[in-house]
Amino acid sequence: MAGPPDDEILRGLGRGDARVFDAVYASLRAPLYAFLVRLSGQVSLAEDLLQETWLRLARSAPDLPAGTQLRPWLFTVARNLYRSHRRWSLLDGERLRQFHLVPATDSPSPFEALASSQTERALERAIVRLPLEMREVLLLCAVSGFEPVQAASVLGITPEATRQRLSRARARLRELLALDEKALP
Amino acid sequence: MTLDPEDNLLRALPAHDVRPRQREHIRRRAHALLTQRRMSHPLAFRVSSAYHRCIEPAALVILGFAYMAMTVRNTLAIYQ
Repeated sequence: MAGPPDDEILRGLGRGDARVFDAVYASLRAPLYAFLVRLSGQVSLAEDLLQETWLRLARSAPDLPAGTQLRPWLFTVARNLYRSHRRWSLLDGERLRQFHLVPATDSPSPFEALASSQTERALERAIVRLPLEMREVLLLCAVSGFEPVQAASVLGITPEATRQRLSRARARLRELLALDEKALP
Repeated sequence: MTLDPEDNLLRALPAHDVRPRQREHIRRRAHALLTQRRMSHPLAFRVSSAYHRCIEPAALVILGFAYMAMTVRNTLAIYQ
């Protein structure tokens, strides 16, 4: 993200400067939202989590230590919020299963309908079908462009574990794309 | 990081933005929090905060150097 260094942004947010917030919001909102939609597979959930992520920044900015990098920090918060929501949902799912009220889980990717090409559609379909751990690391590294070291800090694992997970995610993605024969040119 | 063939396609996936209404709703809520912070920091607090963050540490560093200089001078005086 071009512009002032993150420390300067954090100081501006700490002062309550709305213009500083608007600049960061404009720059990182769409990539963060896209990450949440592809991670969760649900637009309404992604919108809620996106809101909570930005509000946490507005609340926490004065307390963040100097040197905090905003982009990884925002993605870490977003990812952790999704993980927490998922844990609670699974508990609810268990209760629903007890009452034979299991919700549908095999939903298409919300971005599949917006895809502009067959390839893009195939990729969106494949991403949403990846296991969560693989989906996370693929979205961070291959889609959002984080280096494995940065992605490791978002995921709370070592860089080596991140590389291994990424390698498995890529292999699984290829398998899913191969199953969809019309995927790649 | 070496890129796999699919990485170029993945990197090119668009970052679709959130709906305009939701976009504006989040912005307004964040602004409300930031405004609250601005209002809860009156001038006296800002001055006090600047004193504790800048002036006090600077004074401690200067006093520390002054003490060291005095110690070195007194030590040298023993041998003169």
